[in-house]
Amino acid sequence: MSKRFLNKNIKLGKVVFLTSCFLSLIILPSFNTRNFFFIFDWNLYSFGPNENIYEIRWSNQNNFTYLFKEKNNLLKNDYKFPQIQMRILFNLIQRKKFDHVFSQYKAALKEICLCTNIEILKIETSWKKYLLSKDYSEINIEVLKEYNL
Amino acid sequence: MSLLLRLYYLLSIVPLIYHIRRILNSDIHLVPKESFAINFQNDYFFISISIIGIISWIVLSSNPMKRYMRAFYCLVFYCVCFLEYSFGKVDHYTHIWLYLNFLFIFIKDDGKNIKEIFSASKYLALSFYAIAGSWKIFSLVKYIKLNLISNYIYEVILHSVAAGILPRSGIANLFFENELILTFGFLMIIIFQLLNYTILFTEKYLNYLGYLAIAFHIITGMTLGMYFLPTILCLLVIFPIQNLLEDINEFKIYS
Repeated sequence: MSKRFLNKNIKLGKVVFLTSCFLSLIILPSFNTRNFFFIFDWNLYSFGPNENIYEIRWSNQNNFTYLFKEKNNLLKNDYKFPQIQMRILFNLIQRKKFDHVFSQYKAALKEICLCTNIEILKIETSWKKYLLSKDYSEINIEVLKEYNL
Repeated sequence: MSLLLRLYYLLSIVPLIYHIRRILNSDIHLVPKESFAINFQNDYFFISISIIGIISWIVLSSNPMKRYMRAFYCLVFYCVCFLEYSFGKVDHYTHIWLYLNFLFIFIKDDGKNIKEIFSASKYLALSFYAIAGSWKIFSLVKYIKLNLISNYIYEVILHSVAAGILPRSGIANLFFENELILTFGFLMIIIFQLLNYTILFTEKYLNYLGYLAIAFHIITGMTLGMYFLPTILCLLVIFPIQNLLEDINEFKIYS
């Protein structure tokens, strides 16, 4: 086994390793824009938890339903609602691309919520506090936009 | 070694089908209208790129030693994977395939440098874990500045829960509710990921780290429900199967 490591192949491996690290840790962060390679509207890095949380909610018989907090069972399986890519919906909402979401996901959202009106919320708290707490009164919720489906 | 390359390309159908299935299951336009890709944006484009992907996979699996075919397949593979995620982060499940497909273009048609490239593929595969560990450390430093260090681990994990990547059931719930277990698990992941830098200084632990990576994915799959099946398959080819074939070759030479 030890003979395997004592050859010239190791040099190439180390060069590949260092190149990979150099590209990912030093070069790519300088490209951290929203127009990567001119083609894709692609964020290289996810947003940090120091930013606000954006959420979708709708009302059903005087009760509000919160999509990302309460409907995780829908989000868990992408194929449950095949017409909607939940992870992409989540990323779009967190990146405040609300108009794009409602132009593309309108029918799908209507199918999920079975309602006519949807609100976009801005929540100034951490994911820990938001997802694990059951009391909404402790959380500062601001309604940003309303959309008719 | 060409057998190993063939096996690699045979298994590459798994991530390809994984993405094609997701694309075909979605009838929405994933690429923003203002972008360049809108010119090609329709269902026929997705279907045709999927068919081209599968045809090139068949051709490549039968003869993986043609460099131009490997380059073409790499391009199609990138196209299928990137189009689905044109808005957000590219899925972690196929990172390793994306980079190794590119690396394998450098294998010559006569297969003279195939051993070197396969050896380098081990380093490349482990470099992802080292990079991931580094980013976690950078983030930790950032949150120390923001006095949010106590929330950092929860933020990372629960962000994935909200995005629907992690389930909130079974053993995963135990992790979310118990801060100590979650912190311990997260620290272990960071330690494992940073350990991968050791291969720059000594080659002793190269294979052990590869096997550890496979074990790591199996354990996170069992506990958190994150099944990295395409990644595990690729790691199996790169580490145990490659070692096995090398040992068989050595055995043949010495016997």
